[in-house]
Amino acid sequence: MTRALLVLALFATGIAFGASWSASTAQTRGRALRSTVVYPPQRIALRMDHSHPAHRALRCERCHEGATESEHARDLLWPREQSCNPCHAEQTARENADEARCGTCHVGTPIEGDDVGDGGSRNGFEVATSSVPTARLHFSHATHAREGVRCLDCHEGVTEATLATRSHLPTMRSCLRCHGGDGIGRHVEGAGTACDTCHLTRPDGRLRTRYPEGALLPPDWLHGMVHDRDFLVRHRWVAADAPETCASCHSERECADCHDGRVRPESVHPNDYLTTHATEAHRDTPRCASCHTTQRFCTECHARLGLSPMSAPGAVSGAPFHPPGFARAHGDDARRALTTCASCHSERDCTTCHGATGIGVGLSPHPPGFTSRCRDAFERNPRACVTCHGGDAERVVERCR
Amino acid sequence: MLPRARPAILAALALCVAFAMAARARAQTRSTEAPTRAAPVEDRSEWHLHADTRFVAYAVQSPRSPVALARRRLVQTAGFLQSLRLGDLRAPWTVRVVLELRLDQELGDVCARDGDERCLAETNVDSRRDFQALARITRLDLPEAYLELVPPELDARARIGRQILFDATGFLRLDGARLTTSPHRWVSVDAYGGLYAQEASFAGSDGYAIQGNLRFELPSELSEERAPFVMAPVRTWVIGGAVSFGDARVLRVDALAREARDEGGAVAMRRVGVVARSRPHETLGLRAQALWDPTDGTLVDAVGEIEGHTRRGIVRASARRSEPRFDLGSIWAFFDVVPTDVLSLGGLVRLGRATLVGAMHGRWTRFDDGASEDGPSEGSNDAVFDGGLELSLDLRDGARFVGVGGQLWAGSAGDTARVHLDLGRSVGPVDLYARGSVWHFDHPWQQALHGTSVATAVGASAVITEQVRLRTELEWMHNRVAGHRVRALASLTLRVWR
Repeated sequence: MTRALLVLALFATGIAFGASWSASTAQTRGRALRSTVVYPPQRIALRMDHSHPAHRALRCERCHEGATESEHARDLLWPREQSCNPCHAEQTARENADEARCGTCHVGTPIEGDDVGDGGSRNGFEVATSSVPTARLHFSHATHAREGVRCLDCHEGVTEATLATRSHLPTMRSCLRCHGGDGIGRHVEGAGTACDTCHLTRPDGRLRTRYPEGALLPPDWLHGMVHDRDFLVRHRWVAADAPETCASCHSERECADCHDGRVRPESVHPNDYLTTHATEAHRDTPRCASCHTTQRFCTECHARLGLSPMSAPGAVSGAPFHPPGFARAHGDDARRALTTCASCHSERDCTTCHGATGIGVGLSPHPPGFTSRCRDAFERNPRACVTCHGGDAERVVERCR
Repeated sequence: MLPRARPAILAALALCVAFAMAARARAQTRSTEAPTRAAPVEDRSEWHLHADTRFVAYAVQSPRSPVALARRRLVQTAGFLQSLRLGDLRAPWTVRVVLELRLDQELGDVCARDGDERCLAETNVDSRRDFQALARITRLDLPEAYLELVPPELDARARIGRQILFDATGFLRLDGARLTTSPHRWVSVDAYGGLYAQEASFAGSDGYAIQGNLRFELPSELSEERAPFVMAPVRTWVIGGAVSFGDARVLRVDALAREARDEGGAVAMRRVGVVARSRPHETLGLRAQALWDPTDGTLVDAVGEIEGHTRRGIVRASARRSEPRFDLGSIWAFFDVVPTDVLSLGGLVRLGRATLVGAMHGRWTRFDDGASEDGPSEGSNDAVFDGGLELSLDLRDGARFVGVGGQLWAGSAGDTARVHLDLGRSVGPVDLYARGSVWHFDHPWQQALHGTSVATAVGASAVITEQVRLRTELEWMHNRVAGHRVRALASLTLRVWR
């Protein structure tokens, strides 16, 4: 118990440490979080105030020329210099390029005493470069514009912002206002609902999920698919309810990789699971049975390692596996986790006692009320009856009500 | 041992070389941008090949005898997919052929370390005292081989051949036919039937077979006398299906059924089930599922779950009842078993870029009747309880990942405490990771099975090209029972397409 408490204390310390780190990370990064996988981090070396009354009075495409004709996410739709000229001609004039003028819109470094020839010099300005990696999406501004989608429907809040950043790019939730369906968002006629309508795909047609910034994972609110640690248990229900959604990223072969696998998946069986599995199996045999057919898989090791009555004599240590008194107490354990019994024992071990007199010693393993349905059981599959009752099975069945 | 395995190793290596050559050819013919684009719909034909080679080595020491297994396992898969679009390309008929092959090759040995170490081949038919020899050393499997037809309308697809299917009833590997269609977004129908493909080697880990008797082909060199508990496999036919109706926003209900019959008509397995789910609001999800064995009306598996979303995370509450069920041809199917109930409350909280996941579990088994058909049972009439707490904090910041967490369980099934630390970092095309964990465990009545286990692992997964991926891992473990152990894993994945 002391060790268990020590382990718990270690665990609590780790959680506290992680939480404080996480909180500080969140604070430094601001409140608006967009996926860095979909929208890689940008560096925008510009000064801009979208909320300026003069800017707000303009239509978006007045500055973002070509936006309504753009067919690809990779198109750079920033305003060009000539878009700014009608109001900012004085600042864009090259002959007066200094911090006071260029710095109106650009972030950069002032250069003192720039040589202008004839022995003269004047101050200059080195504009910092911007970096805006392409969003990992299929997106056509033109299609959306044709369908009457307004810029602010997707770029919410930009008219109140100074600089437009990643936090003004559309979220998946905002896309699903038209591309939704099946209980999420809303579906507008003609709007694609398949994942690859927006997300990039691999050559096999499934979504591309691996990027330098990390893995593309489903959001928390999408069909209960958040891939947290709990998903290991819950994914069976998600897969049963919405297999086509899973198939957007995963092939059926991936199911078999784990469920019919020969390489232990660490996410399922962490640590030295060979040593610790007995306790886990005893607690939650239904979960084990979701991948392992007990009588095939478990007995293979247990028999060869000398843990099972099926073991060859040379592999057995001789000492009994179960503690003294277990024979009387085994009933409860068998009733709640019969599969753990079956992981070492074959039917013949049970019939030794539970078989009818002559085959065993006649201790009935049947539940109360079994006689009222044993005829059905016999008619559906007599094999089990014959195993314990032998040739008498048919005569025994006559006693069934 | 090794000479027996040589053909399989050579076959695996030949496959790797073939795929590597194909991958190289592919890399020369496809632009680097291609993988980020959707497959062009004007292509009438495309094919994909993939291969996966995994080698894992570790040792298993028996906690109660001097026997040790030296596991050296090679798993080689190879797959092929051919897709053809026929007719009008704006609404084509799609024909797809899928083929999967798998080779499992054991290369290890079984040793007795009691004084003089005696190592024997796993199949040692001459010695009646030494080791069971049931596992196949070489297993060639055909996990999937089917032809699929997808018409342009009705959201339908038909498959014929060997296929894996999954629904709320569970996994199934089938040699047969399956038809699914959704003629309206509120209605879908799924029907399947064929031969239950549940063959595997004794070492097979597949979850497709029905829990029940040991049924498989013994290795040809082994007589039945050596394994009287193993029964010959029987052909089992299975039929099943599901009908779904409703809008998931309000209520969508699935009704399912599956029945398996052995040759001669004996029923091996029966299930009927209902699944209901509703998402009346984006912040609320409800799901309920119940599976019965109609043979005797036993509720085999029932789950109810409610999930609520907030701006900061998710809250979940679930209740589950399960009861072990077996092949109706095995005596265990008619034993007195009791259900186990589990109540869980948990969820996750977003803390910036981190996620705190936690859950509390209560689990109890109630021996409510306390009597067998012939009188009072040997055990108690009380309920036995277990309780657990699990917490983990995962921070995923771009290509970096840090996870810390643990669990604590106590009760009738033994006490367990575990802490773990996971670290991950992507450096260009290489994902590096390290894991460490400490696990303290008790077994309720196996005093030999208690102690503290420490394990650490380091690994790397590298994307060499779009077609080739490599993964290696080395794990060190220590515990009182088995002492120091090492596990090594190497994996090569090749994927090509045209």
